[in-house]
Amino acid sequence: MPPLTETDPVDRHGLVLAIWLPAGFAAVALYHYGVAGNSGWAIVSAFGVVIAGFIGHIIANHVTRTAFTERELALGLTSSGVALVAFLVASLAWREFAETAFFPTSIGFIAIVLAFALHLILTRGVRQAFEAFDVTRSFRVRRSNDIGRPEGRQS
Amino acid sequence: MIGLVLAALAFLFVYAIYISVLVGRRAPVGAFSDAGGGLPPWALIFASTGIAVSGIGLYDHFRLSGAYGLAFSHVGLGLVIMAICSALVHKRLWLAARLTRQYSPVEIFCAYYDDSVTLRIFLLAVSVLLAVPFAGQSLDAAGRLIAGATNGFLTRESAVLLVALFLFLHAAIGGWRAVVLVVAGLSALVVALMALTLVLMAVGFDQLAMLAKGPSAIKGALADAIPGVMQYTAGVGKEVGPGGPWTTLAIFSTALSFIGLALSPAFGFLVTTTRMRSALAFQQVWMIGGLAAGLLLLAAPIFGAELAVGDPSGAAAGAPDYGGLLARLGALDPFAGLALAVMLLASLLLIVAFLVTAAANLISSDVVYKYMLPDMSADDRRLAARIVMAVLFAAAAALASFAPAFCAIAGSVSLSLAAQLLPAAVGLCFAPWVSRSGVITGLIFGVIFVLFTEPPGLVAFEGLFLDLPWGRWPLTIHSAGWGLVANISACLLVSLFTRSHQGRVDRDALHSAYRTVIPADVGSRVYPTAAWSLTFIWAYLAVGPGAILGNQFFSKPIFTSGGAALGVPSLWIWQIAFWLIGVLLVWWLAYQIRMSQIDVATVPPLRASSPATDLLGRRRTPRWISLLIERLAER
Repeated sequence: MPPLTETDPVDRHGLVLAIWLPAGFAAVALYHYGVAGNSGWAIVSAFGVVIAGFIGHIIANHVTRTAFTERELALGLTSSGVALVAFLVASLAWREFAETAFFPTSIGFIAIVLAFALHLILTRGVRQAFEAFDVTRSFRVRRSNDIGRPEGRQS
Repeated sequence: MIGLVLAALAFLFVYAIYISVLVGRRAPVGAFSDAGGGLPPWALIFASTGIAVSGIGLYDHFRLSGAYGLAFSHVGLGLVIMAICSALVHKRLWLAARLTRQYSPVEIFCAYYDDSVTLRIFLLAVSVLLAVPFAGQSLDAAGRLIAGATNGFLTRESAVLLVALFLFLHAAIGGWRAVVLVVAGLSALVVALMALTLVLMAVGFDQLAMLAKGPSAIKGALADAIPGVMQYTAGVGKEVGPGGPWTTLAIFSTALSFIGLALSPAFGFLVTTTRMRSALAFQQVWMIGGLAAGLLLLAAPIFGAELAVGDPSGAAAGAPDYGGLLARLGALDPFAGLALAVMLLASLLLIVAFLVTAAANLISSDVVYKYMLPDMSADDRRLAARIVMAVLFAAAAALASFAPAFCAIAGSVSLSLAAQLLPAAVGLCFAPWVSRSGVITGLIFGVIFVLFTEPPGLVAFEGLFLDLPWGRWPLTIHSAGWGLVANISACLLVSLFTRSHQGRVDRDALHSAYRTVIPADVGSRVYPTAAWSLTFIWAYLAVGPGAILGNQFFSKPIFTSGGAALGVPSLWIWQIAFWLIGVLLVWWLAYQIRMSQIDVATVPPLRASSPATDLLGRRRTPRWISLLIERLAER
């Protein structure tokens, strides 16, 4: 693989934005249309567009021989989390919204989680995909003579 | 809706400035004007799609489809012709750029044709025409669109100036690379939002007007058929034949004008500054010939019919406007209206940014620091490019704000004049016997024919002297067609007698280098012959006289007495069928005949055979320019 030039990260970032710019706009428009027009298919389609953007991002990673950056992962996880919380609050606060959007939006969130899980399994395998979320993995088995010492210092 | 439109506008500007700042911080100063020849291939793939769709005038394409129905929207097949032209020229143009280590198509053409100053002036004039009046038309349309979508909160003039200012800032901060990256993003946005708006119209409206009532057309024009192969009329402005002016010859010659976009120095500059591998073939086959042409052919009649429903008075007067459709979509859902507005706006912004920045870079590299100030440092070169950008953006904005009629008149010849580069491009790529004298004579005749079949020549001549017996596009043949017939005839005739004159050795050296670097090994000579034969047959039936068969080919099939109830016009099916065949044809040319396949990582520089040659980039300032500079400097 040739070494990255100074502008390669910017080019890759430009490609990622070129994917998410239309995908984001279309997803927002479809979701708004779905909620305002009581149209479940539009809401599901909005999530379909998000998944299409995600697939596009994976293709961009493949083409540029890179992976998701830490910032992209953080932004994706944070925005998904915020969206999920906003969705739950809106469902609890507004009855009409819940009646219209709860079921299709839930399907959409589940589809996104499944797509992400599928991506992890395909790229890393089942074991490593599981280990990525295995928080207990960082709890090391410490020997008895290490007890009382700061973590990481081995005698 | 006003808030949404302003927010979307602000978002687009922030996006553009953000990319520019990132590029400005990362890219070396010396790569400001040409991206160091290292634009990513995906940027060419994305950007060329948007440039193809927007460059032929998406904004007016839908409106005219509402005025002249399927006969006009048939010109969308011209994008397949553009893809074929791109397959013909761009691989070898890219190779010539790498062999001569010159990224500017202006420089490549001039050096190839014995350092022709005439050709240089013509190429730069075409670049300026595309960057100022032609781009000014798009700026004017953007201003009207923003003023309409914000209910006058921003006036047309202030919107034009605002858009021009932000586009200038974006281009001045990031340079060529940033502009192309943003154009690529906007192109993706245009394609996605066009599809989204179609879906929302299909779902939200009771029934699409195109399917319920058929395509729309003004009184006297045929909505679902081509009105003949040719009309013996004096031309638009003098006499229009029955059924409207969009005959098969009008469609074919208009499609020929689209190759002006592919041959323009700006598009050539995009190609030569890209780090190419398989991107060239992909963009020609799947993006321009496939996605862009297909989307236009499918969408234009639908948008045209909906525009006519939304603005019946405008449709009756000449061409419907977007206000009615924007209001209908806005009533459906604010984001649906916003999708249409942003799609149109993005298409207008990207073509302005692309054409103006490309022209500024070409002028600064080919005039300012080649001839005037050759000893400038990289920082000074960047400053020079920014100053030229500022001048061009200011000129385009001023004309769009205060003289939109001038933009329309002067801009009308831009693509037709650019199309006149076809003989020069064919000479550069395939035919070393095409001589400098032949090209220049052809250009002179071509330019005269173009000017006198378009408003600039007609208005000027009739204003100064006397009325001419013909108007715009006589015999329903577009000015590009008139110009190319005269141009090619003159070029062939003169080249016949001057094919061995000065410069032939250098031209042969370049063609020999083409064959050495990338041998055209397709197995047999039968394949290219068959491919080009099929191309001409396809062109005859798709956009040539044979297209007239499409009027009834599917609705009243031959060999039967009855008709077929298709639910859609026969011509629409004909267009879609020949679009699909056209994509197959471009695929064959680009991939199988290897006209656009580049499989070398590096290209060695060309060794010139003569010390007088400029193929290696040695530059002698013409005496008249050096004298002019000396005189100015002494004062």
